This record gives sequence, structure tokens and C-alpha cells, in this order.
Amino acid sequence: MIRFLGISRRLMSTTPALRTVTRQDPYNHMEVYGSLHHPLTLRFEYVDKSPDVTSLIEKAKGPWTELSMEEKYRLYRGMFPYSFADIQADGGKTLYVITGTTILVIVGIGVFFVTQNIMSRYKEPTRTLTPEWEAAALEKNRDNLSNPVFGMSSKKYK
Amino acid sequence: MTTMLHTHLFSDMPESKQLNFQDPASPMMEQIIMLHDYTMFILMTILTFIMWMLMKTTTRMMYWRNMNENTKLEMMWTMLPAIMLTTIAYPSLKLLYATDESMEPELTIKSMGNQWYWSYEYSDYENKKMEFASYMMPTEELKMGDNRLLEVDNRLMIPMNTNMRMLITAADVLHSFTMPSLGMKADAMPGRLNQVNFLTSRPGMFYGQCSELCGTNHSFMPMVMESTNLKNYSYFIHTET
Repeated sequence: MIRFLGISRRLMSTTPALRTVTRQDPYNHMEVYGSLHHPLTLRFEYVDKSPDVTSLIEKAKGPWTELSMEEKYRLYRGMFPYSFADIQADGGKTLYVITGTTILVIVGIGVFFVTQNIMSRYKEPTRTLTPEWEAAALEKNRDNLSNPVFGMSSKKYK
Repeated sequence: MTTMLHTHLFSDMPESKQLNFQDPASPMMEQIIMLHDYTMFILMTILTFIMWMLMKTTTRMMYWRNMNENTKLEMMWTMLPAIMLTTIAYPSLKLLYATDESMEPELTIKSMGNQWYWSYEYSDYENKKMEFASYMMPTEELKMGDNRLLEVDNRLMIPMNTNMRMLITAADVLHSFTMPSLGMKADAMPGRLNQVNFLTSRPGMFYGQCSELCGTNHSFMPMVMESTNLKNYSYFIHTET
């Protein structure tokens, strides 16, 4: 009777308010519980529709003492295919991703410096970027009282 | 701040590796920097909270399967941002209206943007109207110690501690007159006069660069303002007019 209504025994015990089956998706084996008037409250339950699980569900309608331990395991896995541990488990690719990204970043920085080095041989440097010019500019700006608050004309500037 | 960060940060002209504002040279810029510091504190608090939430959600993999609604939570995450925005908006609007306040300027200078130089006009003095153009000094003609792409042949001279008004317009395309250390930025539009009131509280040389894309040499039309005492300014006006 309960299965006919499309309500799992687990739902009956935990959430008595959600008892309406809205639709059954035959392709993804998902059952949707809840009302479309409150879409945020919809619950999605996975049910394995493979023949062995379906037959075991039928068998579980009878006395449970007739189910062997392996059948009970299979039935449980059919109803709950993913555990929290499965969902939270690392896919095993994190280290590869981090290592690969780091290597690519380092290679990119290296390519940048190599190209800069090559280009600098052919480009004439600006005459204002010499240490002498920068020292003269610093002296000139100090005379003009530039940055008197925190900068080069201030008393604590080093 | 200078003890925490590199000492080359603050300048009346832009410097390489600069992270913060230039030193303020007018009361308005001082207020702008104070507002910036005040708002930055609030922003850092919000950023820290968001980064913490982000890290927690990516590492803990928590999910609430039975969360339907929570009116208290929704009220909190609406009210708190509204209160924060109000605390930011109040001093910001005060400063905004303060910058627009005109304080009976004692001197008016007209500034016109051309492609690609600035022209200035002092027309307050009877029978002694003065106008000149200010071109960028090419790198080849710079003297030792001059600032590249910032020096000009004719500087704008203004008296310090004097309420000034600048009327900004353009002759051809859009330009923008900017003086970061004075907190001044105004678009120069052809056919329109924009007014900016300012006051320099200390002497010095203030550099700015055009801030509205205006063609090929948009990067090569700086403006230099020299703020000096009244005696020097009077001598300048007397000799130039």
C-alpha cells in the first residue's frame, strides 16, 4: 500500500508532510517528492530500477527473514547508491590538477622572462631609466617639495 | 603605513610600483583619502567574512537537506548590508556635496584641452589677459632629472592657500583635466564649461595626465601645476602679462 502510493518507508518516518509524488522520471530512476507549489522543498530520491533490485523490492514486501544478508546489502545499495563518504571522497585528481597548474604557471613566467630577455637586446633602453637619472630626479623632486607628507620630502624618508 | 609598505609609494606625481594615493595637497583630497580609509576598513571586514565562508563551504561539503525557509536569516542578510551601505553612504554623500560647494573663488583660470596639449588662460586681470599653451617635453629634450612624460614647457602657476576656480573645456574632442594630489578630475567637453573649485594648501609641483581617451597622443599631454606663495605668483603675473 505504501509502495503503491510511491512513498518510501524512510520518508514516512522522517518527513510525514511530504507525501505527494509529483512525477517519476523513468530514465534517471529518480522519484520526486513534494509539491510543485513549494519547489524549494522538493526531495529527489534515487531508486535503482535494475531487474535484480526490482525483484528484491518485490521480495522485501514479504517477510524480511527470508532475505539473505547479500540480498539485504544489494537492496540497501539499490535504495541508497551514494553514501556521504562516497560523495565527499576525493576524486583522486586533486594532486594532479594542482601540480599541473603550478607547472603551467611556472612555464608561463619562464616564457615571459625569456621573451623579455630576447626583446631587450633589440630595444634601446630609455635614457631616463638609468640610476644616475633616477638619482637626479629624486633630488629635483625633493627641491620641488614633492611628497612632503609621507614621501621623499618628508623627514622620515630613507 | 610607510613602515609597512615600500617607501616609494607616496608622491605628487605617479611613481613606479605605486599602490596608494598621491600625497594630498588640498583639503578635499585629504577628505577623500579619509573616506577611502574608512570605507576600506568596512570592505576588509566584509571580504574577510566572505573568504571565510568560501573556504568553509569548499572544505566542509556541508549541505542542508531539509532547509526550506528561514525568515530570520533572510531578514539578517538584508538588514545588515543595508545598514553597512548606509554607514558608507552618509559620509560619502557629505563629501560629494562638499566638493560641489563653491567658495567665492578669488582667481579663475580657464583650461582648454586640445589635441594634444592644454592651453590656459588667465583673464581676471584687466587689460592683461594671458594665455599660453602647454606641451609635453619630448624625452629627447629632457634635462637630467626631469620626469619622463610628465614635464611640460609652460607650467600653470597658481597661488597657494587661495580659493581657485578652473573652467575646463575642450576645443576638439573629449579630454579630462586631472590632478590626483588635489583630488581634481573633470571632463573637458567641447561646447561645455565644467567648473572645479580647489585650493592648494602647500607649495609644490603637481603633475597630472589627461584621463579621457582623445587620440594617438592621449598619453602625452600632461598638465603641471606649480603652487607658490603670493609674492612669486604676483611676480609671475607681472612679468608674463
